[in-house]
Amino acid sequence: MGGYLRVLARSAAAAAAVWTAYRADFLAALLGALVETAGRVAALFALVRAGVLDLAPDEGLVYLGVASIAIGFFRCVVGPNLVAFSERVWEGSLEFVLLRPKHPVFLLLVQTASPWGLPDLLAGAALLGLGHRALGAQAAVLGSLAIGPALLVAYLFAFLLALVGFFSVHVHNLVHLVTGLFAAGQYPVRAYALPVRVFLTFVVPVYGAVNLPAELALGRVGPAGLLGLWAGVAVFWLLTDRLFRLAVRAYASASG
Amino acid sequence: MTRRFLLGKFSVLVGTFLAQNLAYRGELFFWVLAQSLPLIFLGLWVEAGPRPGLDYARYFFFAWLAGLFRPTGVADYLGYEIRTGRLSPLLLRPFSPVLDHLADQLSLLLVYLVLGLPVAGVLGALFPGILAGLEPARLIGYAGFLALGFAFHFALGWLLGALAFFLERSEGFLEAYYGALFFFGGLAIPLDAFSPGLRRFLAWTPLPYAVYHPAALAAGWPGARGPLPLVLWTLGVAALAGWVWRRGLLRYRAAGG
Repeated sequence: MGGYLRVLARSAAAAAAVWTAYRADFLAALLGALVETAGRVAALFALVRAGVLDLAPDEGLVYLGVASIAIGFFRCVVGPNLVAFSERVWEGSLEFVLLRPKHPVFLLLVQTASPWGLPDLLAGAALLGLGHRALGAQAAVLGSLAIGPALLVAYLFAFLLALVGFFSVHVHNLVHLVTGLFAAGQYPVRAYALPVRVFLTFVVPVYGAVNLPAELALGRVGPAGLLGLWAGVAVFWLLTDRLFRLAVRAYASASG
Repeated sequence: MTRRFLLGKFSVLVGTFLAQNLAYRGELFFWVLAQSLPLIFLGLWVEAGPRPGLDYARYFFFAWLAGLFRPTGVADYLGYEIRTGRLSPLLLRPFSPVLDHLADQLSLLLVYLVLGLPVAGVLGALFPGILAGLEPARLIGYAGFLALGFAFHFALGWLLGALAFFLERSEGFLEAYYGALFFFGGLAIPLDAFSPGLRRFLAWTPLPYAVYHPAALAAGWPGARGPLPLVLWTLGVAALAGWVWRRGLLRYRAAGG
Protein backbone atom coordinates (compact mmCIF):
# COMPACT_ATOMS: atom_id res chain seq x y z
CA MET A 1 0.00 0.00 0.00
CA GLY A 2 2.87 2.37 0.88
CA GLY A 3 4.31 1.72 -2.55
CA TYR A 4 1.08 2.82 -4.21
CA LEU A 5 1.01 6.05 -2.18
CA ARG A 6 4.61 6.83 -3.16
CA VAL A 7 3.79 6.30 -6.85
CA LEU A 8 0.78 8.62 -6.48
CA ALA A 9 2.89 11.38 -4.86
CA ARG A 10 5.68 11.08 -7.44
CA SER A 11 3.37 11.31 -10.46
CA ALA A 12 1.51 14.28 -8.96
CA ALA A 13 4.81 16.14 -8.43
CA ALA A 14 6.02 15.35 -11.95
CA ALA A 15 2.75 16.54 -13.50
CA ALA A 16 2.84 19.78 -11.50
CA ALA A 17 6.36 20.47 -12.77
CA VAL A 18 5.32 19.98 -16.41
CA TRP A 19 2.17 22.10 -16.31
CA THR A 20 3.47 25.12 -14.43
CA ALA A 21 5.36 25.98 -17.64
CA TYR A 22 2.13 27.39 -19.17
CA ARG A 23 1.07 30.21 -16.89
CA ALA A 24 -0.96 32.19 -19.45
CA ASP A 25 -3.07 29.10 -20.01
CA PHE A 26 -3.78 28.91 -16.33
CA LEU A 27 -5.01 32.51 -16.38
CA ALA A 28 -7.30 31.62 -19.27
CA ALA A 29 -8.59 28.61 -17.34
CA LEU A 30 -9.26 30.89 -14.37
CA LEU A 31 -11.21 33.30 -16.57
CA GLY A 32 -13.10 30.41 -18.14
CA ALA A 33 -14.06 28.95 -14.75
CA LEU A 34 -15.25 32.37 -13.57
CA VAL A 35 -17.42 32.87 -16.65
CA GLU A 36 -18.79 29.33 -16.50
CA THR A 37 -19.54 29.57 -12.79
CA ALA A 38 -21.33 32.87 -13.34
CA GLY A 39 -23.33 31.18 -16.11
CA ARG A 40 -24.23 28.20 -13.93
CA VAL A 41 -25.35 30.42 -11.04
CA ALA A 42 -27.38 32.72 -13.34
CA ALA A 43 -29.00 29.70 -14.99
CA LEU A 44 -29.76 28.16 -11.58
CA PHE A 45 -31.55 31.29 -10.37
CA ALA A 46 -33.39 31.61 -13.70
CA LEU A 47 -34.56 27.99 -13.46
CA VAL A 48 -35.71 28.48 -9.86
CA ARG A 49 -37.56 31.69 -10.79
CA ALA A 50 -39.24 30.06 -13.79
CA GLY A 51 -40.44 27.30 -11.44
CA VAL A 52 -38.54 24.64 -13.41
CA LEU A 53 -36.48 23.70 -10.34
CA ASP A 54 -38.39 23.17 -7.14
CA LEU A 55 -35.50 24.12 -4.83
CA ALA A 56 -34.48 26.84 -2.41
CA PRO A 57 -31.59 28.82 -3.97
CA ASP A 58 -29.26 27.69 -1.14
CA GLU A 59 -30.01 24.04 -1.87
CA GLY A 60 -29.40 24.68 -5.56
CA LEU A 61 -25.97 26.14 -4.72
CA VAL A 62 -25.07 22.92 -2.89
CA TYR A 63 -25.94 20.80 -5.94
CA LEU A 64 -23.99 23.24 -8.12
CA GLY A 65 -20.98 23.22 -5.76
CA VAL A 66 -20.67 19.44 -5.78
CA ALA A 67 -21.02 19.42 -9.58
CA SER A 68 -18.28 22.08 -9.92
CA ILE A 69 -15.98 19.94 -7.81
CA ALA A 70 -16.72 16.94 -10.04
CA ILE A 71 -16.04 19.05 -13.16
CA GLY A 72 -12.78 20.31 -11.66
CA PHE A 73 -11.76 16.73 -10.85
CA PHE A 74 -12.49 15.72 -14.45
CA ARG A 75 -10.36 18.58 -15.81
CA CYS A 76 -7.51 17.98 -13.33
CA VAL A 77 -7.33 14.22 -13.25
CA VAL A 78 -9.78 12.23 -15.38
CA GLY A 79 -9.33 13.99 -18.74
CA PRO A 80 -5.50 14.18 -18.74
CA ASN A 81 -5.15 10.54 -17.66
CA LEU A 82 -7.62 9.18 -20.20
CA VAL A 83 -5.89 11.10 -22.98
CA ALA A 84 -2.49 9.89 -21.76
CA PHE A 85 -3.82 6.33 -21.73
CA SER A 86 -5.07 6.51 -25.32
CA GLU A 87 -1.77 8.06 -26.42
CA ARG A 88 0.06 5.10 -24.91
CA VAL A 89 -2.16 2.74 -26.87
CA TRP A 90 -1.59 4.36 -30.24
CA GLU A 91 2.09 5.02 -29.68
CA GLY A 92 2.56 1.45 -28.51
CA SER A 93 4.07 2.43 -25.18
CA LEU A 94 1.50 0.70 -22.98
CA GLU A 95 4.14 -1.94 -22.17
CA PHE A 96 5.89 0.58 -19.96
CA VAL A 97 2.80 0.33 -17.78
CA LEU A 98 1.96 -3.33 -18.24
CA LEU A 99 5.45 -4.50 -17.25
CA ARG A 100 5.54 -2.68 -13.92
CA PRO A 101 4.84 -4.59 -10.70
CA LYS A 102 1.71 -2.59 -9.73
CA HIS A 103 -1.83 -2.97 -11.07
CA PRO A 104 -1.83 -1.45 -14.59
CA VAL A 105 -5.24 0.21 -14.15
CA PHE A 106 -4.01 1.96 -11.00
CA LEU A 107 -0.88 3.16 -12.80
CA LEU A 108 -2.98 4.44 -15.72
CA LEU A 109 -5.36 6.26 -13.39
CA VAL A 110 -2.55 8.18 -11.63
CA GLN A 111 -0.21 8.82 -14.59
CA THR A 112 -0.57 12.58 -14.71
CA ALA A 113 -2.66 15.55 -13.61
CA SER A 114 -3.25 19.09 -14.78
CA PRO A 115 -3.94 22.28 -12.82
CA TRP A 116 -6.60 23.45 -15.33
CA GLY A 117 -9.45 22.24 -13.18
CA LEU A 118 -8.21 23.96 -10.00
CA PRO A 119 -10.36 27.07 -10.63
CA ASP A 120 -13.43 24.81 -10.92
CA LEU A 121 -12.50 23.10 -7.63
CA LEU A 122 -12.18 26.51 -5.96
CA ALA A 123 -15.48 27.65 -7.48
CA GLY A 124 -17.10 24.49 -6.14
CA ALA A 125 -15.82 25.16 -2.63
CA ALA A 126 -17.02 28.78 -2.85
CA LEU A 127 -20.50 27.72 -4.01
CA LEU A 128 -20.76 25.24 -1.14
CA GLY A 129 -19.75 28.05 1.22
CA LEU A 130 -22.45 30.32 -0.23
CA GLY A 131 -25.07 27.63 0.19
CA HIS A 132 -23.97 26.62 3.70
CA ARG A 133 -27.27 27.72 5.27
CA ALA A 134 -28.96 24.72 3.70
CA LEU A 135 -26.54 22.32 5.40
CA GLY A 136 -26.75 20.65 8.80
CA ALA A 137 -23.45 20.01 10.60
CA GLN A 138 -23.71 16.22 10.73
CA ALA A 139 -25.07 15.96 7.20
CA ALA A 140 -22.28 18.18 5.90
CA VAL A 141 -19.68 15.76 7.31
CA LEU A 142 -21.47 12.83 5.64
CA GLY A 143 -21.59 14.76 2.36
CA SER A 144 -17.90 15.59 2.38
CA LEU A 145 -17.06 11.95 3.17
CA ALA A 146 -19.14 10.97 0.14
CA ILE A 147 -17.29 13.16 -2.36
CA GLY A 148 -14.25 10.85 -2.50
CA PRO A 149 -16.08 7.63 -3.39
CA ALA A 150 -18.46 9.56 -5.67
CA LEU A 151 -15.56 10.91 -7.73
CA LEU A 152 -14.05 7.41 -7.85
CA VAL A 153 -17.29 6.01 -9.26
CA ALA A 154 -17.29 8.69 -11.94
CA TYR A 155 -13.60 8.12 -12.72
CA LEU A 156 -13.94 4.35 -13.06
CA PHE A 157 -17.03 4.76 -15.23
CA ALA A 158 -15.16 7.19 -17.51
CA PHE A 159 -12.20 4.80 -17.69
CA LEU A 160 -14.52 1.96 -18.72
CA LEU A 161 -15.74 4.11 -21.62
CA ALA A 162 -12.17 5.08 -22.51
CA LEU A 163 -11.27 1.41 -23.03
CA VAL A 164 -12.69 2.19 -26.47
CA GLY A 165 -9.21 3.71 -26.92
CA PHE A 166 -7.98 0.20 -27.69
CA PHE A 167 -10.08 0.25 -30.85
CA SER A 168 -10.21 3.94 -31.83
CA VAL A 169 -7.49 6.53 -32.28
CA HIS A 170 -8.39 9.47 -30.07
CA VAL A 171 -10.49 9.81 -26.94
CA HIS A 172 -10.44 13.62 -26.53
CA ASN A 173 -14.03 14.08 -27.61
CA LEU A 174 -15.16 11.12 -25.54
CA VAL A 175 -13.64 12.89 -22.53
CA HIS A 176 -15.60 16.06 -23.44
CA LEU A 177 -18.75 13.99 -23.70
CA VAL A 178 -18.35 12.24 -20.34
CA THR A 179 -17.43 15.47 -18.55
CA GLY A 180 -20.53 17.11 -19.99
CA LEU A 181 -22.74 14.20 -18.97
CA PHE A 182 -21.62 14.45 -15.36
CA ALA A 183 -22.16 18.23 -15.53
CA ALA A 184 -25.86 17.44 -16.05
CA GLY A 185 -25.83 16.58 -12.33
CA GLN A 186 -25.56 20.30 -11.46
CA TYR A 187 -29.35 20.11 -11.14
CA PRO A 188 -31.09 17.37 -9.18
CA VAL A 189 -31.65 14.43 -11.50
CA ARG A 190 -35.25 14.09 -10.28
CA ALA A 191 -36.10 17.47 -11.88
CA TYR A 192 -35.61 16.01 -15.37
CA ALA A 193 -38.25 14.29 -17.51
CA LEU A 194 -38.55 10.55 -16.87
CA PRO A 195 -36.43 9.16 -19.76
CA VAL A 196 -33.57 11.55 -18.90
CA ARG A 197 -33.90 10.65 -15.22
CA VAL A 198 -33.56 6.93 -16.00
CA PHE A 199 -30.58 7.61 -18.26
CA LEU A 200 -28.76 9.76 -15.71
CA THR A 201 -29.35 7.27 -12.90
CA PHE A 202 -28.89 3.82 -14.40
CA VAL A 203 -27.00 4.26 -17.69
CA VAL A 204 -24.54 6.93 -16.59
CA PRO A 205 -24.10 7.11 -12.79
CA VAL A 206 -24.63 10.88 -12.65
CA TYR A 207 -27.08 10.62 -9.79
CA GLY A 208 -24.68 8.58 -7.65
CA ALA A 209 -21.53 10.51 -8.51
CA VAL A 210 -22.84 14.09 -8.42
CA ASN A 211 -26.27 14.29 -6.78
CA LEU A 212 -25.77 11.83 -3.95
CA PRO A 213 -23.04 13.76 -2.04
CA ALA A 214 -25.21 16.90 -2.29
CA GLU A 215 -28.30 15.07 -1.03
CA LEU A 216 -26.31 13.53 1.84
CA ALA A 217 -25.09 17.02 2.77
CA LEU A 218 -28.63 18.39 2.59
CA GLY A 219 -29.88 15.56 4.81
CA ARG A 220 -32.20 14.22 2.10
CA VAL A 221 -30.46 10.85 2.05
CA GLY A 222 -29.32 8.92 5.15
CA PRO A 223 -25.89 7.38 5.85
CA ALA A 224 -26.89 4.33 3.80
CA GLY A 225 -26.14 6.47 0.74
CA LEU A 226 -22.48 6.55 1.74
CA LEU A 227 -22.36 2.76 1.99
CA GLY A 228 -24.03 2.55 -1.39
CA LEU A 229 -21.33 4.73 -2.92
CA TRP A 230 -18.53 2.52 -1.58
CA ALA A 231 -20.38 -0.53 -2.89
CA GLY A 232 -20.51 1.28 -6.24
CA VAL A 233 -16.74 1.83 -6.14
CA ALA A 234 -16.20 -1.90 -5.48
CA VAL A 235 -18.49 -2.97 -8.32
CA PHE A 236 -16.97 -0.52 -10.80
CA TRP A 237 -13.43 -1.55 -9.78
CA LEU A 238 -14.18 -5.26 -10.39
CA LEU A 239 -15.80 -4.40 -13.72
CA THR A 240 -12.86 -2.20 -14.78
CA ASP A 241 -10.33 -4.88 -13.80
CA ARG A 242 -12.13 -7.56 -15.83
CA LEU A 243 -12.83 -5.42 -18.89
CA PHE A 244 -9.29 -4.04 -18.95
CA ARG A 245 -7.89 -7.59 -19.04
CA LEU A 246 -10.31 -8.40 -21.84
CA ALA A 247 -9.60 -5.25 -23.86
CA VAL A 248 -5.84 -5.45 -23.49
CA ARG A 249 -5.95 -8.54 -25.73
CA ALA A 250 -6.73 -6.17 -28.60
CA TYR A 251 -3.47 -4.32 -27.88
CA ALA A 252 -0.80 -5.23 -30.40
CA SER A 253 2.04 -2.94 -29.23
CA ALA A 254 4.01 -0.68 -31.56
CA SER A 255 4.14 -3.20 -34.40
CA GLY A 256 0.41 -4.00 -34.44
CA MET B 1 -5.65 34.83 -60.56
CA THR B 2 -9.11 34.48 -62.00
CA ARG B 3 -12.10 33.70 -59.92
CA ARG B 4 -12.67 30.39 -61.74
CA PHE B 5 -9.15 29.27 -60.93
CA LEU B 6 -9.72 30.03 -57.28
CA LEU B 7 -13.07 28.26 -57.18
CA GLY B 8 -11.58 25.18 -58.83
CA LYS B 9 -8.76 25.05 -56.29
CA PHE B 10 -11.20 25.71 -53.48
CA SER B 11 -13.51 22.83 -54.35
CA VAL B 12 -10.47 20.52 -54.51
CA LEU B 13 -9.46 21.76 -51.06
CA VAL B 14 -12.94 21.11 -49.67
CA GLY B 15 -12.91 17.61 -51.16
CA THR B 16 -9.49 16.85 -49.70
CA PHE B 17 -10.39 18.05 -46.22
CA LEU B 18 -13.67 16.17 -46.45
CA ALA B 19 -11.78 12.92 -47.08
CA GLN B 20 -9.37 13.73 -44.25
CA ASN B 21 -12.14 14.55 -41.79
CA LEU B 22 -14.20 11.51 -42.76
CA ALA B 23 -11.25 9.36 -41.69
CA TYR B 24 -11.96 10.50 -38.12
CA ARG B 25 -15.73 10.00 -38.29
CA GLY B 26 -15.85 7.92 -35.09
CA GLU B 27 -14.06 10.61 -33.15
CA LEU B 28 -16.20 13.32 -34.75
CA PHE B 29 -19.36 11.44 -33.81
CA PHE B 30 -18.32 11.73 -30.17
CA TRP B 31 -17.80 15.45 -30.80
CA VAL B 32 -21.32 15.83 -32.19
CA LEU B 33 -22.68 13.89 -29.20
CA ALA B 34 -20.75 16.20 -26.85
CA GLN B 35 -22.26 19.19 -28.68
CA SER B 36 -25.69 17.64 -28.15
CA LEU B 37 -25.42 17.65 -24.35
CA PRO B 38 -27.48 20.86 -23.89
CA LEU B 39 -30.41 18.79 -25.19
CA ILE B 40 -30.39 17.07 -21.77
CA PHE B 41 -31.53 20.37 -20.25
CA LEU B 42 -34.59 20.15 -22.52
CA GLY B 43 -35.63 17.43 -20.05
CA LEU B 44 -35.95 20.08 -17.33
CA TRP B 45 -38.16 22.43 -19.35
CA VAL B 46 -40.42 19.73 -20.74
CA GLU B 47 -41.03 18.50 -17.19
CA ALA B 48 -41.91 21.82 -15.53
CA GLY B 49 -41.50 24.77 -17.95
CA PRO B 50 -44.37 27.27 -18.41
CA ARG B 51 -44.71 26.68 -22.18
CA PRO B 52 -45.93 23.53 -23.97
CA GLY B 53 -43.20 20.87 -24.32
CA LEU B 54 -43.15 21.04 -28.11
CA ASP B 55 -42.19 24.75 -27.96
CA TYR B 56 -39.12 23.90 -25.93
CA ALA B 57 -38.25 20.91 -28.14
CA ARG B 58 -38.30 23.23 -31.18
CA TYR B 59 -36.20 25.85 -29.45
CA PHE B 60 -33.57 23.35 -28.26
CA PHE B 61 -33.46 21.67 -31.67
CA PHE B 62 -32.75 24.94 -33.49
CA ALA B 63 -30.29 26.04 -30.80
CA TRP B 64 -28.44 22.74 -31.13
CA LEU B 65 -28.29 23.09 -34.93
CA ALA B 66 -27.02 26.67 -34.62
CA GLY B 67 -24.31 25.37 -32.27
CA LEU B 68 -23.07 22.97 -34.97
CA PHE B 69 -22.58 25.93 -37.37
CA ARG B 70 -19.68 27.10 -35.27
CA PRO B 71 -16.21 26.45 -36.63
CA THR B 72 -14.41 25.52 -33.41
CA GLY B 73 -11.05 24.23 -34.62
CA VAL B 74 -9.66 27.32 -36.37
CA ALA B 75 -7.80 28.87 -33.42
CA ASP B 76 -6.30 25.53 -32.37
CA TYR B 77 -5.08 24.52 -35.83
CA LEU B 78 -3.79 27.95 -36.79
CA GLY B 79 -1.96 28.38 -33.48
CA TYR B 80 -0.44 24.93 -33.90
CA GLU B 81 0.72 25.71 -37.44
CA ILE B 82 2.28 28.98 -36.35
CA ARG B 83 4.11 27.51 -33.35
CA THR B 84 5.44 24.44 -35.15
CA GLY B 85 6.36 26.19 -38.41
CA ARG B 86 3.87 24.10 -40.41
CA LEU B 87 2.49 27.38 -41.68
CA SER B 88 5.54 27.84 -43.95
CA PRO B 89 4.54 25.46 -46.79
CA LEU B 90 1.02 26.95 -46.76
CA LEU B 91 2.47 30.43 -47.27
CA LEU B 92 4.34 29.32 -50.40
CA ARG B 93 1.13 28.61 -52.27
CA PRO B 94 -0.56 31.18 -54.51
CA PHE B 95 -3.56 31.67 -52.20
CA SER B 96 -4.04 32.58 -48.57
CA PRO B 97 -4.07 29.93 -45.81
CA VAL B 98 -7.46 31.39 -44.88
CA LEU B 99 -8.87 29.33 -47.73
CA ASP B 100 -7.35 26.13 -46.31
CA HIS B 101 -9.02 26.71 -42.99
CA LEU B 102 -12.29 27.77 -44.58
CA ALA B 103 -12.33 24.60 -46.70
CA ASP B 104 -11.49 22.49 -43.65
CA GLN B 105 -14.27 24.01 -41.55
CA LEU B 106 -16.87 23.80 -44.35
CA SER B 107 -16.09 20.12 -44.87
CA LEU B 108 -16.24 19.55 -41.10
CA LEU B 109 -19.66 21.19 -41.06
CA LEU B 110 -20.86 18.75 -43.72
CA VAL B 111 -19.61 15.82 -41.63
CA TYR B 112 -21.24 17.24 -38.47
CA LEU B 113 -24.58 17.62 -40.22
CA VAL B 114 -24.54 14.00 -41.38
CA LEU B 115 -23.36 12.69 -37.99
CA GLY B 116 -26.03 14.83 -36.32
CA LEU B 117 -28.84 13.00 -38.14
CA PRO B 118 -29.22 10.29 -35.45
CA VAL B 119 -29.51 12.98 -32.77
CA ALA B 120 -32.15 14.81 -34.81
CA GLY B 121 -33.88 11.46 -35.38
CA VAL B 122 -34.08 10.76 -31.65
CA LEU B 123 -35.56 14.24 -31.05
CA GLY B 124 -38.05 13.70 -33.86
CA ALA B 125 -39.10 10.36 -32.37
CA LEU B 126 -39.51 11.82 -28.88
CA PHE B 127 -41.40 14.89 -30.14
CA PRO B 128 -43.49 14.01 -33.20
CA GLY B 129 -44.47 17.11 -35.13
CA ILE B 130 -41.38 19.04 -34.01
CA LEU B 131 -40.87 20.41 -37.53
CA ALA B 132 -44.55 20.70 -38.51
CA GLY B 133 -46.12 24.12 -39.14
CA LEU B 134 -42.95 26.22 -39.13
CA GLU B 135 -43.01 29.48 -41.07
CA PRO B 136 -40.75 29.43 -44.17
CA ALA B 137 -39.93 33.15 -43.83
CA ARG B 138 -38.61 32.56 -40.31
CA LEU B 139 -36.54 29.59 -41.52
CA ILE B 140 -34.91 31.77 -44.18
CA GLY B 141 -34.02 34.32 -41.50
CA TYR B 142 -32.67 31.44 -39.39
CA ALA B 143 -30.43 30.30 -42.27
CA GLY B 144 -29.09 33.84 -42.59
CA PHE B 145 -28.30 33.88 -38.88
CA LEU B 146 -26.45 30.56 -39.22
CA ALA B 147 -24.26 31.85 -42.06
CA LEU B 148 -23.49 34.98 -40.05
CA GLY B 149 -22.69 32.96 -36.92
CA PHE B 150 -20.33 30.77 -38.95
CA ALA B 151 -18.56 33.88 -40.28
CA PHE B 152 -18.29 35.45 -36.83
CA HIS B 153 -16.82 32.37 -35.16
CA PHE B 154 -14.46 31.79 -38.06
CA ALA B 155 -13.15 35.36 -37.72
CA LEU B 156 -12.89 35.00 -33.93
CA GLY B 157 -10.96 31.73 -34.30
CA TRP B 158 -8.65 33.37 -36.83
CA LEU B 159 -8.01 36.30 -34.48
CA LEU B 160 -7.18 34.09 -31.48
CA GLY B 161 -5.15 31.68 -33.62
CA ALA B 162 -3.14 34.53 -35.15
CA LEU B 163 -2.31 35.77 -31.64
CA ALA B 164 0.01 32.75 -31.49
CA PHE B 165 2.47 34.93 -33.47
CA PHE B 166 2.80 37.02 -30.31
CA LEU B 167 1.77 34.79 -27.40
CA GLU B 168 2.80 31.34 -26.32
CA ARG B 169 -0.76 29.98 -26.27
CA SER B 170 -4.10 31.72 -26.62
CA GLU B 171 -6.64 28.93 -27.14
CA GLY B 172 -7.64 29.00 -23.48
CA PHE B 173 -9.41 32.31 -24.05
CA LEU B 174 -11.54 30.73 -26.74
CA GLU B 175 -12.54 28.07 -24.21
CA ALA B 176 -13.64 30.85 -21.88
CA TYR B 177 -15.70 32.39 -24.70
CA TYR B 178 -17.37 29.04 -25.42
CA GLY B 179 -18.10 28.68 -21.72
CA ALA B 180 -19.92 32.03 -21.90
CA LEU B 181 -21.75 31.02 -25.06
CA PHE B 182 -23.04 27.85 -23.39
CA PHE B 183 -25.10 29.65 -20.75
CA PHE B 184 -25.31 33.26 -21.96
CA GLY B 185 -25.74 32.47 -25.66
CA GLY B 186 -28.81 30.31 -25.28
CA LEU B 187 -27.42 26.79 -25.82
CA ALA B 188 -28.18 25.48 -22.33
CA ILE B 189 -31.10 27.72 -21.37
CA PRO B 190 -33.48 29.97 -23.35
CA LEU B 191 -32.35 33.50 -22.55
CA ASP B 192 -35.87 34.80 -21.89
CA ALA B 193 -35.61 33.04 -18.51
CA PHE B 194 -32.92 35.55 -17.44
CA SER B 195 -33.67 38.87 -15.77
CA PRO B 196 -34.27 41.86 -18.10
CA GLY B 197 -31.14 43.66 -16.81
CA LEU B 198 -28.87 40.76 -17.70
CA ARG B 199 -30.52 40.45 -21.11
CA ARG B 200 -30.03 44.17 -21.84
CA PHE B 201 -26.34 43.72 -21.06
CA LEU B 202 -26.04 40.58 -23.19
CA ALA B 203 -27.67 42.35 -26.15
CA TRP B 204 -24.41 44.31 -26.56
CA THR B 205 -22.34 41.12 -26.85
CA PRO B 206 -22.34 38.72 -29.82
CA LEU B 207 -23.54 35.85 -27.60
CA PRO B 208 -27.36 35.94 -27.94
CA TYR B 209 -27.22 36.45 -31.72
CA ALA B 210 -25.21 33.28 -32.24
CA VAL B 211 -27.79 30.92 -30.71
CA TYR B 212 -30.75 32.41 -28.83
CA HIS B 213 -32.20 34.83 -31.38
CA PRO B 214 -31.91 32.48 -34.38
CA ALA B 215 -33.41 29.58 -32.41
CA ALA B 216 -36.23 31.74 -31.00
CA LEU B 217 -36.90 33.06 -34.51
CA ALA B 218 -37.11 29.61 -36.10
CA ALA B 219 -39.17 28.15 -33.24
CA GLY B 220 -41.69 30.97 -33.64
CA TRP B 221 -41.10 32.51 -30.22
CA PRO B 222 -41.84 36.21 -29.79
CA GLY B 223 -39.05 38.68 -29.05
CA ALA B 224 -36.39 37.47 -31.50
CA ARG B 225 -34.20 40.38 -32.61
CA GLY B 226 -32.42 41.19 -35.84
CA PRO B 227 -28.77 40.34 -36.43
CA LEU B 228 -27.37 43.86 -36.86
CA PRO B 229 -25.12 43.79 -33.73
CA LEU B 230 -23.61 40.50 -34.85
CA VAL B 231 -22.95 41.95 -38.31
CA LEU B 232 -21.00 44.80 -36.67
CA TRP B 233 -19.15 42.40 -34.37
CA THR B 234 -18.23 40.17 -37.32
CA LEU B 235 -16.88 43.10 -39.33
CA GLY B 236 -14.92 44.42 -36.35
CA VAL B 237 -13.43 41.06 -35.37
CA ALA B 238 -12.61 40.21 -38.99
CA ALA B 239 -10.82 43.55 -39.47
CA LEU B 240 -8.87 43.02 -36.25
CA ALA B 241 -8.02 39.43 -37.22
CA GLY B 242 -6.71 40.61 -40.59
CA TRP B 243 -4.57 43.26 -38.94
CA VAL B 244 -3.10 40.86 -36.35
CA TRP B 245 -2.47 38.29 -39.09
CA ARG B 246 -0.55 40.74 -41.29
CA ARG B 247 1.45 42.11 -38.36
CA GLY B 248 2.19 38.57 -37.24
CA LEU B 249 3.41 37.46 -40.66
CA LEU B 250 6.03 40.23 -40.53
CA ARG B 251 7.44 38.66 -37.35
CA TYR B 252 7.11 35.07 -38.52
CA ARG B 253 10.43 33.30 -39.07
CA ALA B 254 9.15 29.72 -39.35
CA ALA B 255 10.70 26.99 -37.26
CA GLY B 256 14.12 27.82 -35.91
CA GLY B 257 13.70 31.58 -36.36
